[in-house]
Amino acid sequence: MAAIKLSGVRKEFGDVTALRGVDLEVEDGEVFGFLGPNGAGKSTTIDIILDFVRPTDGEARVLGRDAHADSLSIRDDIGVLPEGFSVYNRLTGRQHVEFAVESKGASDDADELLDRVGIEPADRDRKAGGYSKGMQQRLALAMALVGEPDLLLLDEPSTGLDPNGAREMRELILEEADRGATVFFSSHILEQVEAVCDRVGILRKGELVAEDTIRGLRKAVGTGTVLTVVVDEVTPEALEAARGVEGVEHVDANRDTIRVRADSNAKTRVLDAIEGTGVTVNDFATEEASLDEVFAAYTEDAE
Amino acid sequence: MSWSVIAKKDFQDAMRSRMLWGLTALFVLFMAGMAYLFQVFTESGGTGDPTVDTLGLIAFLSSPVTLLVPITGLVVGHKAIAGEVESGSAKLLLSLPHSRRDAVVGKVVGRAAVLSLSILVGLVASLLVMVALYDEYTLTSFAIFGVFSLVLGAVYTAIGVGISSLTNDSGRATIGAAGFYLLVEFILPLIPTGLVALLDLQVSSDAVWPFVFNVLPPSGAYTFALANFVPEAGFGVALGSLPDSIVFDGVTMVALLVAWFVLAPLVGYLRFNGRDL
Repeated sequence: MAAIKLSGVRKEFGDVTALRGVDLEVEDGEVFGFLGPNGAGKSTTIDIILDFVRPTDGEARVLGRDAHADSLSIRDDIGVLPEGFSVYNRLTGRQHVEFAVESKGASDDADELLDRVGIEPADRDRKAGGYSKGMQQRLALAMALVGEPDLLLLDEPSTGLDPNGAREMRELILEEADRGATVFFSSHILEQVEAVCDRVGILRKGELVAEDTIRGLRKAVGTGTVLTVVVDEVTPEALEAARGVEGVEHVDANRDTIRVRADSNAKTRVLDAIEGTGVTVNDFATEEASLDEVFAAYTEDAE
Repeated sequence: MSWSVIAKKDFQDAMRSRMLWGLTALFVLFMAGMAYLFQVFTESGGTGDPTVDTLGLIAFLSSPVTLLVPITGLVVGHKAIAGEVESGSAKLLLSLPHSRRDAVVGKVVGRAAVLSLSILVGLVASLLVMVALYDEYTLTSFAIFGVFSLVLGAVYTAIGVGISSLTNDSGRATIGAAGFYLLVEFILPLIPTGLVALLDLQVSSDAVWPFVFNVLPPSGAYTFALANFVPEAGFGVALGSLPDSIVFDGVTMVALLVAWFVLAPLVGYLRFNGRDL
């Protein structure tokens, strides 16, 4: 059974089309990264899964049930960390978790959950309105973990977290996955996804442009190599020459460095072309394409 | 029963806000103050009747109650849903297994409980003044007055929550609440007079229909209910001089108050349920 299955989901807000027929399948038990630049339609997709927003067309099924008609029973079995939420300013952290426990008819211990997300005992009986953004994020995560949900839906979970918090978040995601939960989380930063995801989907302008493992994505984009060339002077001619070489996909530059994304067998030709314009190459290095580049290939090149 | 979890949370939230304490102070000052004022006023001969008793107090209080209670009810209720949607806390609420119906019902119950508690404390303060200072007091009459005042508060809280459920924008909810009050409490009762003036109607003295517009607003139903159930207070509406009609029955008033309490949130819910957050 698919944990999430979207078939031809369209959503129009007035004359703005947010989603243009999205088909997506998240397998039971996998960790799925849902990627896309801001404004691509990630939150709208999640809002449809949660029945906050109703699709103009198409069907959304969650845990084999209809996202709209069976929303209540779905929300019994999932945990959600929404994006752009706000806490109840006057309720304490503990009261928030207890509210989630009572709402789900679960029996979790609030302290245990707050331990897991790293909210200190001293902070638990403070009003959540006084929490930092990162603590509010942790608090919402604790609420999401209530009742050992079959599916965790995390919308931009690293928002407001420092690097250490983001790492703890990833560890929690993996713990939940080990327990057998399906995890679906969205991000606009690919690096956060790499460490934890079995598969990713990339959304661009309301369309799913890729759905694959990260390795598969790299392969499909064919961004084998990034060549970094340190030169004495970055000239427009040099950049033009690099762009002209066969197998080069993308060229950009900063002060004294030209970065070229290309097939690995184009390396020498690129170097020759740059030197051919009279620029002196001081140093160069090659590296495997970073995920950013893979991401960029999907979200920019098609423009 | 998930609405009860929401009602509890809402009540807890209010307990920690200044709103509950502010309201309570307001009602204590108002109810006890009026009870005291009535005693001073009567003893100085202002009411024309020298007995300081409960019935006189009820007559004295009921009119300001129809102003204060509806307004506080609307204030307490009108941001319940719109405010949560606007701030984003509705995302936490509705990510949990609560239907939108439970959200509306829970809000009505939670906030009505808050207002009721404030009114109740005010009523008790008023009662203490009464027991201490009055020549005569009738607990039954006062209890009936108290119950209907609580009902009026709950009705207006429900109307506030209903209005709140119509929109995702709390500014519009405020305008809606103010507009509702103006329209229903002030404009509606003026319609018969307006019709008579505009259409040059001849209204016979025993016509019932013009009174429908006085009975329909919740505070009208409240006043007519008191006139029915505490007739000996003999204030405002002298039922005896009105035509004999079901329109003025106590049961009708109860039915009207219940209808407002149920229908306002229902309409709000239907709009809330059909829209994107």
